[in-house]
Amino acid sequence: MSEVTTNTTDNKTVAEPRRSFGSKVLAALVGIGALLVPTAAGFAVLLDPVLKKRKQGGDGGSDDGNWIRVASLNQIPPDGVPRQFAVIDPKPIDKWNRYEPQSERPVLLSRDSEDETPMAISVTCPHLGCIVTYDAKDDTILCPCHNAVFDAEGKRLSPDCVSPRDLDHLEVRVDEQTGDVLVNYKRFKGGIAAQEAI
Amino acid sequence: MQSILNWLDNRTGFRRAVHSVFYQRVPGGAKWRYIWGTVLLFAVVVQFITGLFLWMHYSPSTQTAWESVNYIEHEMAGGSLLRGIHHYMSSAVMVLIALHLMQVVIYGAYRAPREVTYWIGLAMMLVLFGLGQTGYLLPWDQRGFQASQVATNIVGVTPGVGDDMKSIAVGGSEFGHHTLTRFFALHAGVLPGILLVLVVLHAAVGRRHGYTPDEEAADQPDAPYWPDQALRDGVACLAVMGTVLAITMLQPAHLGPPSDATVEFNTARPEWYFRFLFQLLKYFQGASGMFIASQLIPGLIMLVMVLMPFIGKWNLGRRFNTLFVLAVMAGIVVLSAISFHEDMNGETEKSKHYLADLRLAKAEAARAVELASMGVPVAGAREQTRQDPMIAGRRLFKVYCANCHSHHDPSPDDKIADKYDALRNVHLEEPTAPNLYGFGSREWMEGMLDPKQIAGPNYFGHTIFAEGDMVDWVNYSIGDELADLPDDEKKAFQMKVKAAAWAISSLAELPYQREMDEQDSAQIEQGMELVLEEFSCIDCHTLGDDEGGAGPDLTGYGSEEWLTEFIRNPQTERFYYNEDNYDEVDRLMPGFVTHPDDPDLNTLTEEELSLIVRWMRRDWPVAEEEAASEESTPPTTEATEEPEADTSDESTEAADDAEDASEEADPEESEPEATEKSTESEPAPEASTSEETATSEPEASPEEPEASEPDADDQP
Repeated sequence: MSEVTTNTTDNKTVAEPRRSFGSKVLAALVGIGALLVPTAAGFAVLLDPVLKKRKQGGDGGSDDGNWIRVASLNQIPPDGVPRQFAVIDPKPIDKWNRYEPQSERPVLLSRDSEDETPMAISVTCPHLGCIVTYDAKDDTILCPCHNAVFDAEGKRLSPDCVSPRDLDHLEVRVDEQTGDVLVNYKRFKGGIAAQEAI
Repeated sequence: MQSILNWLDNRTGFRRAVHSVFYQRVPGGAKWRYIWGTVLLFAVVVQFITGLFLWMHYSPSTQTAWESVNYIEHEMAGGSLLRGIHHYMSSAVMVLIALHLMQVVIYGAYRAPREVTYWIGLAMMLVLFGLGQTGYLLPWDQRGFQASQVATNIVGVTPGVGDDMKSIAVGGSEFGHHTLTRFFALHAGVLPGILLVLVVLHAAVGRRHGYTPDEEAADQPDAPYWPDQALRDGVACLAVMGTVLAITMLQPAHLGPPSDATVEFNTARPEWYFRFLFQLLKYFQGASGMFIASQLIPGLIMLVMVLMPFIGKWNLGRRFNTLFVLAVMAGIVVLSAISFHEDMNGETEKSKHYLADLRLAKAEAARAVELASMGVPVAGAREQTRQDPMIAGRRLFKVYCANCHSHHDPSPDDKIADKYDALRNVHLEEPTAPNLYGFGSREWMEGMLDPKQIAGPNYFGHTIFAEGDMVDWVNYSIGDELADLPDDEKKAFQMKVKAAAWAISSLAELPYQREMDEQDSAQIEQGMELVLEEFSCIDCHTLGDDEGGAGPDLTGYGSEEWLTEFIRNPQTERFYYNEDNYDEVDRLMPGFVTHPDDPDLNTLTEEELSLIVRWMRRDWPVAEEEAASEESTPPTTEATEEPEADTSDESTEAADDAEDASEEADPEESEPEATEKSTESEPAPEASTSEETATSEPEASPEEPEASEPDADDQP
C-alpha cells in the first residue's frame, strides 16, 4: 500500500459528527445487504446437495426396492462358500449424465443347501468402505485395508474388530420360474454400529 | 480483545489501513457524484463472489460445458439466481465503466497528478472487456459459440501475427476442448488475477491523491468518508444489486441450444455491449475492412484515451477530450441502436428471418433443456439434439424435404403458440408439393376429402395430381354429391365424410392421436365401413387384403412403416408410380433411400430417414415432468393431451356434429352418448400412453392395430 497522506487529522472539519450514529448503522446495513445477495445465491448453490436430495449413481429403483438380477440360481453351488457376482446398475446417473448400464460394486452370494434362498453379503466393509474378499483357505472374509476379519456369513470374528458392525446383508429374491436371483441393492452408511441405508 | 487488536496492529498496522479507507477526506463533503468508482468496484466484487461459486460447478469441456451450465441453471438450488446475477452484473459492469469513464473525462480527473490512476483504470477497462468476451463462450451454447468464433476471427486479422494469435487463443485451428479450457483459465484465473492487481493499484494510487474535488463545491467543508459518503455508496450499490436481481427474476439468464458448428444458426450476436463493434463490421468490407473496423478504429480510440492527460494540458485539450468521449459514446449508442433495430423491427425481410430464427433458437433451447432433464448421454447434449426427432428431424426436413414441401400450420388464426411451435413448423414460401403439417392426422385427411382444399396449395395444388383421379373423385363424389343433397341431409353426409377421414387417419397410428382414436373407436369403425363400401375407396386404393387399382396403397397410410417406405421410394407401384404418370416421372417425388444394397448411394441414411419420419409423426420422447405438467391440466374437452388445442376442439365439434346428425338423419351412423362420454373421459390412462410414446421403439406396439378396429358392442 502507498503511504497515506490524508486522514482525519488534516480534515477541515470535525472528525465525526455525533448525530452520524444512525448513518453508520444504515451504511453498514446497506453495504452488508448488497453483498449478501450474491453470497446467499452462491451458498444456496453450494448447499445444493443438502437442500435438494437426489439419488446418485442410479435412480434407486421403485418404492418396492432396487431389485437387480445378479445371477442364476444354478450358478450358486450349495456349499456355503460366498462367491462374488457382478451387479449391473441398469440406469447409472451422475449429475446431468445418464450412462449405459455399468458395473456397481459386486455382491457375495452363497447358500448351504439346494432348497435355501441364497444369502447376499455386501462387499463394502462397514468400517471405511473398502472392498472385502473371500479367503477360501481360512473360510473367512477379509478387508485388506484395516484387517477386519469376518466369517463366511459376514459376522465379525473377533470382539476387537475395527468394523463397527457385521457385514451388511442384502435382501434376496428368487424368481421361481426363471431361476433368476435378484438382490435389493443398497448402500449403507459406514463407520456406525447401526445399519442405515444411504 | 483490545490487547489482541493492539498486538495485531503493532505487527500489521491494520488500523492505519482501515483508517485510510474509512476516514479519507471527501472534498466538499459527501456527494452522490462520488459514488461511481465504489459502485463499479462493488459490481466487480459481486462477479468475483458469484464467479467463485459458479466455478465450483462448471465443467469446461465440449461434452460437459453446456451440460454443467444447464445443470446449474435448471437443477441446482439457487442456480438460476446465481448465474443470473453473474450474467446481468457483467452488463452492469459495462454500464458503470461507461459512466465512471465519462465522469472522469468530464471532470478532467485524468489530469495531473492523477494520470497514473487514470491509466490503470483504462487497463482495468480492457481486462473487464476481456472478461466479458471470454465469459460469453463458456456456456458453450450456439450464441456464445458462434459469436466467439467471430471474436477469434477478429484476432486472426491482426497483420502478420493474426493466425498464430488466433491459434493460441483457440488452442488449435478449431474450437474444441482447449478453447474452453483456455477461455476458462483466462476468465477465472488470469484476467481476474490481473484485475485484482490493477484494482489494488488503482485504489492505492488513487487514494494518494483522493477524490477529484468538485470544482463547484470548493467552498464547502470536507468530510470523512465514513459514514455519510459510505451510506451514499451503499445505497447506490444496493440499487444496482436490486436492479440486477429484479432483471434476473423476470428474465433468467439466456442459455441457447448446445453449440453445433454444423447447423445453420443465424442469430449469433455478441453481448449487447459489443453490438457496436458487430455493427461497425458491417460497414467495412474484406479482410482489410475487418482489420480497420475491429482493430484500427478501436485501437485509435484507445490511443486518444491514453493520451488524454497530455491533450488535456492544451488550451482546448480538455474540451476536446470531453467531446471525444461523448462522441465515442454517442457513436456506440447509435451503432447499437441501428443494430438492434435492424434485427428487431419485424418489417424487413432480414428482420423477419432473424426473428423467426430467434424463435427457433428459443424452441431448440427449450427442447435441449427438456432432453437434458431426461439425462444426457456421455457423448453430450449436442449429440443428444442431433439424435432427437424434434430438433434433428426438423433440420433434416428443412434440408431435404423443404425444397418442395412446406410443413406449417395452415390454420389462419394466430393461435397462442407453445414453446415448441417453431420446431413443428418449416415454412416454405413457394412450395411445389403438399403442405405436410400434421400429415395423416384427422385434420389433414379431412382437408384431403374437402373439394375446396384438395386441389389447393396445401394438398395437390402444385402437383401433377391437381388434375388427377383423386381430385376428380373428391370433386364429384363429395363436392357434387353434397351440392345435390337437400339441406337437411347435408350435415349427415358431411359427418360420413368426416368419419371416413378419421378412419383413414387412424391407420397412421399417430402418437398424438392415440387417445382420440381409442375414444372414437366406434366412429372410426363406421368410417372404415364407409371407406370400404359406400365411398368405394378400394376401387383405386389397396387397403389390407382388398386389392385396389392404381392409387397409392392405403394399408397403414401415414404409419411409420408407410411413411418410411414412401420416402424411401415413392416411385413404386405401391405408391405413385402407375400408367397415368409414366411420362411425368420427373414431376414425382424422388426416392431418398433407393439403394438398399449400397447405402453410400442413398441421399439419406436409415437414421436420418427415421428422424424425418418420427418428426413428421411427432413421435419424440417427452420428459416425465413435461408429461406430468400436461396431465395436471383439468380433464376438460379442450385440454386433452394433444399438443394442438385445435385438434381436440375438432373432436368436440365432431362429437356435437355427430349428435346433431344422429338426431336428424341416421341414428345408427354415430353413437352420441359414447362420443360424449369419450371426449369427457378421465385423463388417467393418458399417463401411461404418453410414457409409451416417450419410450416406444420405432416398431408399433402390438396392441396398436387393435385400437383402430375395436368392437363397439363390447364397449360399456
